[in-house]
Amino acid sequence: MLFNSFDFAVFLPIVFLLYHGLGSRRRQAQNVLLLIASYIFYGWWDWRFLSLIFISTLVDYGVGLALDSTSEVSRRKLFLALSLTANLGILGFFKYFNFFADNAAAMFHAFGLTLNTGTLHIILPVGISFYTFQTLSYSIDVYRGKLAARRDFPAFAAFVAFFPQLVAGPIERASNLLPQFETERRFSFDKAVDGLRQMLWGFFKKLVIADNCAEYADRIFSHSAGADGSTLLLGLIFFAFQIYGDFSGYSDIAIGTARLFGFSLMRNFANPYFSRDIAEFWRRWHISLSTWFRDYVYIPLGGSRGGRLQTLRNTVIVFAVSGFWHGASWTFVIWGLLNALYFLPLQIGGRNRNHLNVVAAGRHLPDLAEIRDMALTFSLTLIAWTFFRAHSAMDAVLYLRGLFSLSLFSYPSLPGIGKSFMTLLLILFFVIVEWIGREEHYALAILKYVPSRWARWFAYAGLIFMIGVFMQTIETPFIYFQF
Amino acid sequence: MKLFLKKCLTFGLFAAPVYVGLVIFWGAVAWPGLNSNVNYIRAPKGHVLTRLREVKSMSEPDLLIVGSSHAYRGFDVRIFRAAGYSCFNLGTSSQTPIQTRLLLRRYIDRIRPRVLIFEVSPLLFSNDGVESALELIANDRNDLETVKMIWNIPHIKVINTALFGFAHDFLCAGDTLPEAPRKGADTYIPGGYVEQDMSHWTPEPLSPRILRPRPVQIRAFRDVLAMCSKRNIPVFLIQAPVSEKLNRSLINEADFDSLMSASGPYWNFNGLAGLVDSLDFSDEHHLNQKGVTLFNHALIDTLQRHGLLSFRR
Repeated sequence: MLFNSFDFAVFLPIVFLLYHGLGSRRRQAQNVLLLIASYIFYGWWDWRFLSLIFISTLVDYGVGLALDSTSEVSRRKLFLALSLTANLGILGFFKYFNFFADNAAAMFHAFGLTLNTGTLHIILPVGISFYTFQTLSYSIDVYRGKLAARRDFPAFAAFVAFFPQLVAGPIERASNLLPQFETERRFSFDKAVDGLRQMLWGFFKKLVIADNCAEYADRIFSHSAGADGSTLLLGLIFFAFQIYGDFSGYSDIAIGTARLFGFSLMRNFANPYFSRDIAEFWRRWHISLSTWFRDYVYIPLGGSRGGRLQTLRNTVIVFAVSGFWHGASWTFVIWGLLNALYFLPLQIGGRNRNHLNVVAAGRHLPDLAEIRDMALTFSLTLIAWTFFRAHSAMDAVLYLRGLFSLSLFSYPSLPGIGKSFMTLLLILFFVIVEWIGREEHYALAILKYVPSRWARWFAYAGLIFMIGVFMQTIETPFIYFQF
Repeated sequence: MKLFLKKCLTFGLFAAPVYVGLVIFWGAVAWPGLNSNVNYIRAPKGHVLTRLREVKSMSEPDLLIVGSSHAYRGFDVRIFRAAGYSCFNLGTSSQTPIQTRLLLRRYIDRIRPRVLIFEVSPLLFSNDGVESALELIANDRNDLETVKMIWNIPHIKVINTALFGFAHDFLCAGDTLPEAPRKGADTYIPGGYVEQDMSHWTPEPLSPRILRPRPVQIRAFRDVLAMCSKRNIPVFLIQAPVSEKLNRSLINEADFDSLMSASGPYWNFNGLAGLVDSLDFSDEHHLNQKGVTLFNHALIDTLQRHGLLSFRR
């Protein structure tokens, strides 16, 4: 079920009323309801793949209990290996089988050999990369002794399948989300209103910004050969806002929906395009994934505790793996490595933690140096996005070659100039609101400081109007579903 | 919780009129080229405005033709008149059965035709009906039938445009927008037909498609048949010819033929002898005047052979 569908508009109020109708004292019943609702939510897309979630749930629940039952190191390692094999095995088969098969065939072909890999048309189950990482975090934390094993199966199963964040995150840590399933969740008026407000902003980002930008990004990327540099630049800007609006919009809807049920999910985006260097960008972009890789890959590899070379190696590995997580294609690996290339000079120079605060905190506008740094960082991310969006590395290189030409300074030749102008105006409005609300958890939260209720309500109604009038009318799935 | 639900309801009551007001304001001030979901475009291509003005003074023609642009560009009223049948063509762009039902509910008792020629196509039965809905909202009066149509097409563009359409009907007195009979390559022929300057199509390969009729369109189609049956108006279901390339790309056409044959007298004129893609079509969908003449004579001949036009005056 998509958040931006009529089905969800019916589903959510029903589950909300049933959930709060049960009352906070019937926590177990609420968990069972959330579990059933989550399975319906996922099964709406394809019920067959519910079995994968269930297997993942059973394995990690069992592994947790098994880890709890023994202190013998070798046995504990064996149980952890079981969880890793099961989860990464499912992920590897469904997401990467074709990639490895094709690359093996290509390698054999290079040596004049023929490898018949067969053809398996494997469907990628939606959200598989998200929920496998979430359950893995549970088993690893229990193994490390950071978390006690859970015996309440409905609560655990609901944690794995919790519908707001099941298919595209935020990738929650068991240590944050599981305890919330085990405690009483009282209805809070303020939390519910805040949740609705965040959902509204998420819908605006997805339906208005991302989907409108997608139209032009798709058009320009598919006709990039021979296009002006200025048009290609616009294509990249549209794509940058498409992917940001799409994914952060999904996260806002997910976090807001969870708040309606009394849950607090972690923040996933913190105005990444206002970053002053790439290190800051990566502290603000897809935070739940970046911190997952930090905690479960970078630190176990040694983090920055070894020598400088080892630290740099670990950084490169994390960026490459992060790229590969996004998709079974070399373009994503190159995207990850390119970001590593941006990041390494900062790390070598010890400048990767220069910007920990919000840009221009306490001021209305940034200073010139901040504008320069933000523009440079945004430009670097645009170059990297080329590899993320292109069908092949060669396409990306050709796109960049066309971009860095004299025609970069010409007037862009966009089809449907009036419509694209409107989309650019909408992006401008979006950036202004995000800037004003950059010190909040999500931009629209600034409205809670407006004392007049009528002014707040008029702003919400105005945003609903903008969604109704400017939304793309084709139901588009979220980009990150494919990851 | 009760307070929350109460506030949500109050906000809904507040937001609804604000939304309506802003949509009307936007519809009035926005340049139509901007990307928005208020598509109130009057007098678009196809002369729908003139046709819908003319239909209001039409009475008791022998034949009433309904359907999409295949109808208003494919059934030349002059050829029917020459054969002795008075005729009105009420085709509109992408008219699906939902809009056919709306137009007949509005006009059938005023027009009282002897026979209804219903141009049917799998392309229309699988269509969501949005394009045609927008055209009718902007170019005909809006009433309860418009609301019923929105119920069947709950699309944001249709809803917004209808909000503006109702406001426009209410606030703007008189329907005075002029529409020239000659627009671009099109010439409006009184009686609803649009003749296009002679042109030829260069056939291009089209990817194969499977078109599934939408249940909502089937329901509207059956309503149209029932409406005519109640008034003893015979309905002939006609599939007008499209280019061979397009027709071949619709790979489940036989299913559609079965559906139509089971619903009433039905003729599919695709593959009509003598029609050639490069000579008789102006694009993949539409016949040029040479093709129209060939098709219309074949249609009249077919209906006469079956004794279905025996009322000739």
